[in-house]
This record gives sequence, C-alpha cells and structure tokens, in this order.
Amino acid sequence: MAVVAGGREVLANLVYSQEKTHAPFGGVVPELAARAHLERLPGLVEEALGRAGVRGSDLDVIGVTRGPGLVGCLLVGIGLAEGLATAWCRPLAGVNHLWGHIYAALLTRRDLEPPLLALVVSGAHSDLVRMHGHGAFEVVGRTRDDAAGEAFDKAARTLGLGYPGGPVLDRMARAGDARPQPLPIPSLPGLEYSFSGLKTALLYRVRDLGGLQALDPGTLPDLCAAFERSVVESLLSKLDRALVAWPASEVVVCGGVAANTLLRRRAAELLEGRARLTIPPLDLCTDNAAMIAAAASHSVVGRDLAAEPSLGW
Amino acid sequence: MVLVIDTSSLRSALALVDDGRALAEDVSEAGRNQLLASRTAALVDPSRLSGVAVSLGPGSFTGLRVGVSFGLGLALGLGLPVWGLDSLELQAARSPIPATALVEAGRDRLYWLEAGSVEPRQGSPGELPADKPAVGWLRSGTAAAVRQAGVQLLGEDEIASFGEAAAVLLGGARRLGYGTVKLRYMQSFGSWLGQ
Ligand SMILES: [Zn+2]
Repeated sequence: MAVVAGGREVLANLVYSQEKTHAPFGGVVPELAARAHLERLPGLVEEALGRAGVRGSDLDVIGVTRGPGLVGCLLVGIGLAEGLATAWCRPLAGVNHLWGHIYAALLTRRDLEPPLLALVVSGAHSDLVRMHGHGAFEVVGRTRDDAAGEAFDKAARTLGLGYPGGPVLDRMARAGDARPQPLPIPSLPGLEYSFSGLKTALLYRVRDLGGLQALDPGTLPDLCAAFERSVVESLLSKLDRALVAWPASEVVVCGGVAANTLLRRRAAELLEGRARLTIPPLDLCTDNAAMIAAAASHSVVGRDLAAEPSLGW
Repeated sequence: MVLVIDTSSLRSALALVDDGRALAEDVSEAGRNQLLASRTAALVDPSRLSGVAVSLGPGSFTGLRVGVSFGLGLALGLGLPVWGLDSLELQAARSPIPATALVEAGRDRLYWLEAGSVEPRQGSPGELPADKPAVGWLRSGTAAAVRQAGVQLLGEDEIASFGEAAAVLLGGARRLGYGTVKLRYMQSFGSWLGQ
C-alpha cells in the first residue's frame, strides 16, 4: 500500500511480506496468499494514509493491480480498491503489474522519461522492453522457459538454500568465486533467454561432486557465484544486443532480480559511456505499491475492473 | 442504513436495510464481473450508509472474494462497522417454514444447513434430507438433481426476498474487525469449523 504524489514522489510505501507464511512450503501457496491479503490490506490502507498525512478523499486516483498475478489475490485487491473508490468517490485505475516495475525507475529518477529500453527481471519475467511513451510498450526479448528469478529460486533449492532463493543465493555468492566451478552461460540466438539448461547443468555439477551432503563448505559459495554469473552475463549480453539494435539514451534495469548485487554492478559497467542507467533502489525493485501508484497515473481508468491473471505487456 | 452484500452464489445480491426493514434490493445474475461499484452507486449514496454487512460464505470461491473485499473496502473507506453473515443462514431465513438451506459447492455438490441444525454439511443432492423442503439459488442442473432426489425446492414466490431475510439476520449478526474478516468456502468442513 503506497501513497505517491504527482506520479513521482513517494509519500508512503508499505509492504507486508508474506515470505514467512510461505517459507515452510518452499513457494507461494495461492490460498494462503489471498487470505493474508484480505487480513493485512485494511491495516496497510490506514497506515499508509497516516504516514502520508492525507485523507482518502484527497487522492486524485486509486490505482490497483489488475494483473498479471494469482487470481485470488487480484480479486481481493481489486475488490478492496473498488470499495475504497466508491467510499471516497474517487476514480479507479487498473494497473498492469509489469508496467509498474518500469515506473519504479521513474520514481527513482525524477527527470527520467520515455523513450527508454528496459530489462525487466523478476520471478515470472525476463523481458527486454522498449518503452516508446507512457502506456506504449514493445517486448523485444523474453525467456523461452524459466524467468531469471525462477532460475535463482530453483538453484537455491538444488543447493539446499531454502526459499526465497534470490536473496540467499546473492548473499552466498558474495563469499564465493565463480571461477573454480564455472557453469555455461546460456546463449540463444537473437534476444531470447533460456535458463532451464543452466539449471540442469548445476544439478549435474552437484551430482558429480558427490551430492549436496558431500560438498565442502567452500564449494557451495563458489557454485552460487558461478550460477549467478551465468544468469547475469546471459541477461546482460541480450541487453547489450538490444541496445545495439535500438540505441537509447535511457536504460532501465528493474524487477525483483534487479536487487541482485552482481547484476547491478555489471549493468553499470556495461552501460558506462553508452546510456544513462537507472536501477531502482532495492525497495522499489521488489514488488511494491509505490510503483503501481506511479503507473496508475498512466493506466486504464474505470469502475468495475476485471482481474486479468495472465495479462501481458 | 446498512448495505448487505451476498456474492456467494449464482446471484449477486445487494440489499439496503434500515431498522429491521428492507428498503431496496438488487439481485442479478452474477456474471464474470459483479459490477458492485456501479450497482451500489445506483442503490444508495454511500455517504448515507451506517454500516456494511457481507456474506462470508460458504459458496463461490471467486464471488466471495469479490463481494467481501468490496464490502470491506467500502466500510473501511467510510469508517463504518462491518458485520459478517452466513450464506446458508441467509437462505434459511427466506423460508417461512422449516427448510434446508442450499448453496452450490461446485462440481454438482452442495453446502447445506438443515432446519434446526447449526452444523453445515457438504455433499451430493442425494444426501439431502428428503422430508423437508429446500431453499437456495441453484443452477438449473443442480435444481433438477435436488428435485430428482425427492426434495421439494421452494419457489421464489413462496419465500421472502433476500433483503427481508437479511433484515431479520442483521439483528444478530457478528461485528468484525477490519483485519479479521475470513471467508468460509473451505472444501473441508473440518478446517472451516476449526477456524
Ligand atoms: Zn513483480
């Protein structure tokens, strides 16, 4: 739940993390997620308004994610937002969650405007997107199988690191070296990604080393570093290609996986002297409501929104 | 004036209740979109409401999420109290005589509440008590299966309206905290009753 002024200034941005709820199951349980939304959202609404120092009826527009996402969760969010909009007599904007990740970059840098080239990397997406203007997106590259975040989660499971995998793997990789246990860097022609082969390569490597139990303590961080390096280099090689094909002065790297330390550093190195790079701070990379609020000022406005679980760009 | 919302079944029901009386109601076919915002606006000026009552189920997984979260948002935005109702009790309250209340449970199954009982059950139409009439908003196929099982299904003209039933139940409804609203649609009644 967030309050954003003028589409650019974050007045309040609250996230109730459900990680602890789902951790015992090794992934998100849709039923538990929807129930938690219903229980937590009312408190977050009151707290966000309080922190921002505004009343509901002061708002210009109420934004809510209409998709993509889990249908049960979308229904709860949309229903609550429609109720609030009716109570406060305010217009309602249905926001595409994917757009939100790019708008997080517009919150990060006040003078950032499209056109821009974006790499959107999360648990569900690894997309190269040209943003021509507000509300005008063109996907020029995507993943053929797993998304980058999904690949990190699966690797973390293979390495016995638990859920959610991304942050743990990142931390572990900082203590490791990618060179002793190199893994292949996935490379398809064009701008398509594929991470399932890399996932299999990691599985075989662990097996060849005698299994998880037999790994010596120094090897685990090295495997993390190697896996991370392969994912990051693959992501950036396509970004590089896209930038050659469609030169842009503004480049955005965003989404939950953009919180990854190596990706942030390597992206900065790649873009040095070629384009201005914007990577949102960590709390605007991971899913949050401020980015949805920012996108709301450029989204579909209307009553009686429908949930769209598999909404694309 | 209290807005009552029941989206647990095939019909999407709104009613306006004041002082134990039903003032107005809007019961429509529940499509993919319940259109709750526009229908509410057509029924009442929200600023005149003094509370919101939502049916917590059992019933449709999708419908309940839409209706309950809308009612919760409306109440929260206006700073009004929220009351929880039971979809089976709402149906039971429509019958002038002791009847079994029915709500669709999907895949040709039903949730039901026998007259005089406080314990809801779930099963197929063949398991319904045959000695009492039944009341509920059912698909035509389910209604036919209920009749085939020898159970008399009361017609809309023989029973009270949704708003009238809601007005009766509101007096004894449970007030909920904004963060304590829980849906009742569980397949397993054990876990539902355990909550
Ligand atoms: Zn996301």
